[in-house]
Amino acid sequence: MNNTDSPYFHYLSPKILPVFSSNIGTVSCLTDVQFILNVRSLEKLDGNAEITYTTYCDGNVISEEFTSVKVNNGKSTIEPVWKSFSTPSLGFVEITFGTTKPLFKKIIPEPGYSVLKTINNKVLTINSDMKYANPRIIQQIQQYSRFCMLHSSVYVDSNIGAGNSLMLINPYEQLIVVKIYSSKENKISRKIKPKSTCMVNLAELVDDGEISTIMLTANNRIITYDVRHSYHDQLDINNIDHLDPFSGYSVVNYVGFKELLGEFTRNSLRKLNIRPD
Amino acid sequence: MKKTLTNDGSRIICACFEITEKQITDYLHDSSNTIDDLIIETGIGSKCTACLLDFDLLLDKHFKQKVKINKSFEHDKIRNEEVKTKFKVYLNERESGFFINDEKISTTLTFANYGELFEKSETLPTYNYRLRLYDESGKKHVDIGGNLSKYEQKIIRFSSLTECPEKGWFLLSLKAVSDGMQGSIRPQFMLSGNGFSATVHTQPHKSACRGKAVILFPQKSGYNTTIPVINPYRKKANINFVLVSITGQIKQSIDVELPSLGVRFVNIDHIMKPEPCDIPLLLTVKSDIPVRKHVINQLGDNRLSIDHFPNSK
Repeated sequence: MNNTDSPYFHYLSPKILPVFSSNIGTVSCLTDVQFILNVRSLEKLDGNAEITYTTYCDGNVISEEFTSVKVNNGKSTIEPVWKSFSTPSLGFVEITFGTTKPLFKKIIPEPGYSVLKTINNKVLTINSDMKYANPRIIQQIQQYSRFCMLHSSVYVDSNIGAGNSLMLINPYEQLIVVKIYSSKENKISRKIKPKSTCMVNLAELVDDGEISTIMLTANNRIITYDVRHSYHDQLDINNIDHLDPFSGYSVVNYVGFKELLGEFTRNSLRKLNIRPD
Repeated sequence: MKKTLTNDGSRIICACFEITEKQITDYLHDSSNTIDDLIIETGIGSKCTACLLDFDLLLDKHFKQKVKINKSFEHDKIRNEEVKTKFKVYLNERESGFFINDEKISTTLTFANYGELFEKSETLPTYNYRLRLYDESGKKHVDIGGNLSKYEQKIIRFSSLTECPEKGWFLLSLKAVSDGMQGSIRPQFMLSGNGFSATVHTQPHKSACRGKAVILFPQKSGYNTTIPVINPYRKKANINFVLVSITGQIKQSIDVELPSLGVRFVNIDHIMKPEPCDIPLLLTVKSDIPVRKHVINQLGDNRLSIDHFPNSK
């Protein structure tokens, strides 16, 4: 059996982004090797940074692109690269970043947004998700021994023409069974095939015109997005947000005297209306 | 379901370290070995964590006991020892966001205190909340508060609040008043109007920062982007909008002043000159004091997309 004592990793957790068919639009993201090394590596790299972009659709690899970038004394030899993706139908892209030498203490990827640019020139921001090692999900599973995501502002309204779906991405090797619950005890189930993406219309789960909370669980983690779209067309999208893990963090924290004094001072300033935040 | 098999003929539980069901059961059937030893020796469950559920079920199946893996981790023991010398404080989050409350668009703030999968739970705390609404100039118009009990959801429609201005920003304080887990408490705010709704999480007000960037995609019709910038301080803020290429070349730079406790909805088309279409640019918003920033993309059909800027950490 292997041992995991090494404090450094030579890779970051792969980033997952939804991808749409080209008649919907293209998803684009920026890969800036220098920025990634600046914000994540603990040492200066002399070697190569390796990036792989793999798009999947309905269980199949649609495209795979590998780039190796020479890095000298921590300096990337190439400029940031803008990459765009589309798939035959709903899919996803998995972006992996690695180095030829262990550099990273944590495998959390660099921050930054991607965008969906539709064929009608609408631009939406999308936040990528981590394939694994999301600290909030690790904490949740440690606390509850169960995977649970939630959204507290689901809204379907046929009167104003607003629809709402969940996008579920299975980037793993096994089928995932997802159960979605509403606060009114309605439930729907879906099976998500490996390496595939599906959208679940929440109109069949929540009451029309009412703001609702939904939660989902699954037999494995799954990447989830809240998608807002027109009522009659799931792919006429206007907003993409992520769901939250049901939090396994406590509301109680333990602090030292110095932090306690700081908290007391801040609260006093707030009470005196000197500090608003 | 297809199982991944190894040479020993048993299913792989932890794919990261290629640890099989047989290896785990053989190891743990030796009474001198503990689950702690297994985790430390193999790393099972510590990398991608995807196997934690399977691992837990396996332990349950073979050893007839439900094992909470976190109870084995060394850091919990250390934390418990540290607790003896420290002071207990409750979660006291301050979250902020912008709002629009006019004839076309309304804003709703939601936060919920449900158990996991809506089950009854002993681990839910209760909260006090306080909501303050400020207009663009920094004047406070609304200051309300109350309690959030177990199994309760608050849905606050700004249009129902008397004296709610047409535009501004809100500050939501959420303070836990009993022990428990955070669960479903994270608030969200939603903009809705004819043909759309759009949501984004409120962000910790303390995550205000001095400089972050978002992607901007100039189009023939313009940038179609508005940046609400919130000044949480009692002094004016100086904001610098900088449009740069992805290689860092500065294209345009504009300064804007922000009143204390105020918000400005900065329409980029009003302050920046057009740039060539379809070339993505980065819009960096810098400030002399930390400010909170969001992005509103106008989609050209009266619909909006909203998001927040990356946080300070």
